[in-house]
Amino acid sequence: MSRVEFMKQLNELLTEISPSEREEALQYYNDYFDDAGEENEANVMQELGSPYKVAETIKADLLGRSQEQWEFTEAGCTNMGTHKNPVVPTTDGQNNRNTYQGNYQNGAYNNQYQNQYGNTNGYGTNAAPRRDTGRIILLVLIAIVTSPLWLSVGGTLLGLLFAVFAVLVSLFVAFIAVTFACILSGVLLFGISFAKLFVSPLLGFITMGIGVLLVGIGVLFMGISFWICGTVIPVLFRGTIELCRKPFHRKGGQMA
Amino acid sequence: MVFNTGAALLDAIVLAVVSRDPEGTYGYKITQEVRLVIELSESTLYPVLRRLQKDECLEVYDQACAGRNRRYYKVTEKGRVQLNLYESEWRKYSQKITGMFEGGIRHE
Repeated sequence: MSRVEFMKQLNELLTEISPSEREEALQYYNDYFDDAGEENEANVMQELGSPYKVAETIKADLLGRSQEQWEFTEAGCTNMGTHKNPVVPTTDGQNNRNTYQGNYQNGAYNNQYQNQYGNTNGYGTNAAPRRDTGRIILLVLIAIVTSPLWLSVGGTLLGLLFAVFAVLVSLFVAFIAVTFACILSGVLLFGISFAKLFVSPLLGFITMGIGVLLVGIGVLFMGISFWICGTVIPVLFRGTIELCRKPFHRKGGQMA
Repeated sequence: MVFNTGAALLDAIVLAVVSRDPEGTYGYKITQEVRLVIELSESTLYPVLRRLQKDECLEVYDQACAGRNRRYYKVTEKGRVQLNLYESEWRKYSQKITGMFEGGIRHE
């Protein structure tokens, strides 16, 4: 096997891990080959073993980290889960030394080490991500098979939602129109009533009263329009967004 | 070797090796130097370096070398503090073990 083949295989074996982690690892081994020199290429490859073994070491460590943290939290040893951020002694060395010893003597720490370096059961620990991939594929398949159902249901729901919004918007427009009509005619009548007052005081007062009433109704409708615009529509929007987000959130939680 | 090298000790050795080059050093060289003191397969070091980097004990930078970019590892302030801790712990630990071997430590 040539170096190029080795790197190609390693790349393919690392598809399970994140692209940034993969890139880091590939750069490291590329550098490693470069620095070892062409004459040592065969030696290095023999030392590294198969690309499979190298990939397992990388993945076991990434996996080991999360497992280790999980074990720590499960045991309730929040103090010992400090491996991610190694213990840094401050001027008060005593306290930190204790944490350090806890970390060092903790069984999980040593177990993880053996998994990584002793390769005693490094292959076993790899089963988890593969099962995960299987589950994702299964979920996608289920989604595809049931797509006619949820497409029609989703479409109906979307249509209903759109109708509700359309009704609300048209109501809003209608209310605004009523507001304007009432206030305008009210003000107009109020103005006319002054002229009428001189001709017939009774008719003038009635006209004035109707005018004031119309302005009042207009203000009431203005209030309702503002309420629809400022409260009902935003609440509905937020509710819809929340509704759309919920299933994804729950799904994400299950997979993690 | 008869004795196992634990993860903490391996971290300590790697930090010590990297800290000997103030300008930083690269993966191949680190591997060769670590192998001067302990037996180590070549694939072992990458996860250790990556972990120390994530723990902010090491920082990396790329520098052009012979027409390509080579990744260098350098000990951070946090890594230095951690190394000091490892060194003092190692001294205590090894002294106790040596003391036990030579018969100096006894239960009163």
